[in-house]
Amino acid sequence: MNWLRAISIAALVLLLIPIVVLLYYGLGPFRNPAGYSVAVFRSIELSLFSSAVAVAVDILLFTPLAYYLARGKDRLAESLVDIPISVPHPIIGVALLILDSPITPSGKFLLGLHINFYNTILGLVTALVIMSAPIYVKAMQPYFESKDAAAEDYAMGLGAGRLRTLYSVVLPDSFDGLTSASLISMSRALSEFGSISIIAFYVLQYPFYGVSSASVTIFELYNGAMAGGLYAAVTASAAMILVALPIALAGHFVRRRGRRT
Amino acid sequence: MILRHQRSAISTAVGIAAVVVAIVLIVAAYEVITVSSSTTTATVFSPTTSVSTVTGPVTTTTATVTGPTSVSTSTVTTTSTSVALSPVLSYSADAYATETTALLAGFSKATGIPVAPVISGGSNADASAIEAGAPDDIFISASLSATAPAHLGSLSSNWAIGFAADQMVLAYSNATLANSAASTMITQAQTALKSNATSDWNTFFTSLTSGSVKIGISSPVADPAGLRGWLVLEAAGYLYAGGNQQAYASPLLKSGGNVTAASAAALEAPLQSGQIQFLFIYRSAAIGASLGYLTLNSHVNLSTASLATFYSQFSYTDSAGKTTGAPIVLCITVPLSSVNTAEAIQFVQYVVKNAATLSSYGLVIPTPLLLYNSVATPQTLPPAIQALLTQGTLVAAGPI
Amino acid sequence: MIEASVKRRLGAFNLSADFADGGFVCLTGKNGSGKTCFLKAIAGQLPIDQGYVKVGGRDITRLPVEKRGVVLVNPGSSIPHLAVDAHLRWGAGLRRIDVDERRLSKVKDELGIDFGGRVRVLSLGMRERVSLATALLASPRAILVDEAFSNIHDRSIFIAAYRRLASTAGIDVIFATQEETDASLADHLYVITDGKLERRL
Repeated sequence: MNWLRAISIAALVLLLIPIVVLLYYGLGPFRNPAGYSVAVFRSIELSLFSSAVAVAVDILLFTPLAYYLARGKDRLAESLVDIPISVPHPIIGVALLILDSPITPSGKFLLGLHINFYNTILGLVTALVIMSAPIYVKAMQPYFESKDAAAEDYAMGLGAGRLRTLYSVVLPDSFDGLTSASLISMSRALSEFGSISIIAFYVLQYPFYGVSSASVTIFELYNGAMAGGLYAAVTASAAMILVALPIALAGHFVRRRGRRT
Repeated sequence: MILRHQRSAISTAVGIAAVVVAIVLIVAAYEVITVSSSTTTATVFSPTTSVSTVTGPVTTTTATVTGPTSVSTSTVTTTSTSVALSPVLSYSADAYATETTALLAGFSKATGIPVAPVISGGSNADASAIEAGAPDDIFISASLSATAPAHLGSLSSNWAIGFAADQMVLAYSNATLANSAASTMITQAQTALKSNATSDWNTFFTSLTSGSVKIGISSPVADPAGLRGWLVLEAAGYLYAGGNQQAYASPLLKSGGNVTAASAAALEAPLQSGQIQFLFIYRSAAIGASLGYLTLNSHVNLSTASLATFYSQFSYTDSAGKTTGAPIVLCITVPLSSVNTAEAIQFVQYVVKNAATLSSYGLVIPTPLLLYNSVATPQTLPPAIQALLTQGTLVAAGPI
Repeated sequence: MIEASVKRRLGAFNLSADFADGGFVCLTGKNGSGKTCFLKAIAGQLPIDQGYVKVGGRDITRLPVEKRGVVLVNPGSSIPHLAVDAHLRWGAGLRRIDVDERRLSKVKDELGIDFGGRVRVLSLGMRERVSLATALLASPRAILVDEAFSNIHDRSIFIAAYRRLASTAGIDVIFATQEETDASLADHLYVITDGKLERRL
């Protein structure tokens, strides 16, 4: 009897029970049309769109940081990266609210530049970036660390600076690491709730006029602020799981392929 | 080792990333265009550090951060037809979010004026948010006091129109019927309703509050529905337990049978899933959520305008002050901080005109509608409202 | 014209040398004698606790790897995703040196690079040829070779050609090797014995 395997599978099953229950009830006994209404699908669209944009920003802005942490020995920076995800998520929403508020100097400055976070796609994506970037860095850093530094040392010997080395030597060879990290951080962004329920409860920009993110919509269905009640919330949750699953599984396939080569 | 097909995958990934970056830039550019034509929605909200007025989950009102108001005097939205209008913002009592949404949708369709989705929460919590500076044009409240300076502070415009009456009921779900203690109580209530005998009602209320079932009563501080739940129990105690207002409320509190949340609507889901057996909520909300409900005597359920004096002998005191019982009237007002004021008044007129359609939600529509008015010079009642009063569509119903 | 004195507390490492004559230098020693550590310290890949490194009289001890003008090539050195020609030009491109077709073909001929394709699909020996050629074309002050001739077929021919090209370009080369016989291919021979670096020849 392989005890390790048995215990591991049991732990995994425990983890997945709520998901399975939700899928069963949402697609079966509790299925309610309000749970797959146009409003719910628009929310899922908004979540997918904003999460994808957030991940693109993560890749552009935070890949250098992940590389820096991998090759440098900056323990302080490493710990600082974890801060946004170590605090209750509504705090980040409140922080963005204050940052962009007309009574603070930073807010006056930002609003003067027409940068408005409150109930906008910009605010939504900003919150998602803050909440998914640490996960992205945490995924890319070990990937970079596991890469053989020989090519990088050689390139630097030839005269390439660290940043140049990152873009010309490391990244062209990091497709599977990038994909895997992107998918993990996208899953993180899709599941975000606390910060966006404050800074971007709904957005008012075309083409998402009056649409909330999926997590907010499901919460609204649950707490009766949106017509539908418990059953609609369960159905919408099941719909959201069906959307999130392929993304989680895609990450798995990329990692498998990476390990095989 | 990257194989040939993965090379093209890389270029695909790069291409997708480029497209996404392009989308971000387009959205940001659009953002700049829309924000610059409606700067006011950004400038009114101004948070500070005192957070404590909202209880419960964050999303029942958006503004958990409260602070002083810096009311914007920007003139962008004054009726220039060539500029894109900023949407009309609304707060609504959560139990009436559906009705408010329907009214807004009808209004938007009829006039072409854009409306933002309703932000809903307990009426008192909504008022706190508005007072703290959350942008708002329309406030539909389940209680008159939430529209008054008592809750809206200096942003109260001192007038409100009562356009629908409702009553408190005890809602229950299919899950409740499966609970034997609860289903017994339902039978007792139905008996009492038929006989209207004091002893029958006493039997019902005594078992209800004994602690053998869980009763949802939302937070009185945030939600008038919760406050009214306690008033119902006080009135029942007075009527059926020999004048003792605390006869049922006390045992309920002691036994821990009451379950609370930030709003009554938030308790609908636990009611449906069986975590609680009864819920104090408005009849219209129970109908809207397809819940069963127990009807109570009109002396107890805060439904009847002519019993206003009777209701006023019951009160509930908490951190927000003392609130006395009054008939339940759904009110609409336009706070002084509104930005799209002209459009907001137009919406009020629309509601007045179409109030009768709300009876389909189980609401009782008074005719004429009620104007609560404490407007004192130098403020004036908006001309459109004054006109409705003069025409007789509204009748003066006392101070706010 | 490389002069280095390297002390590291770790491993009680203490080597000094003055390669004043420059040229094509062979460095040998037993396994673990410190050849690799020494070359890495000169290249800047290994931090030193005491000492200095000078190239052409210029003190480069405090400079980061990319600014030293010294290229260290070992068997793993290569940029896998580049194609051969792009790889060869890459180092030169960093210093804004334009490598014309004639020079490129000449180097390729001399060093036996008659193949193309992505570097990652090449054999070890082919990769080493490309890495060494790239270093040459980048015209650094010095090239350090840490056993990177080890997989090359017909190595004496290759090393001789490499020596010619380096000499013409005025680049000093120090190569560390296990093979005693490589000494005959160099201008000078240095040996590390018992923690001391001595010149023989």
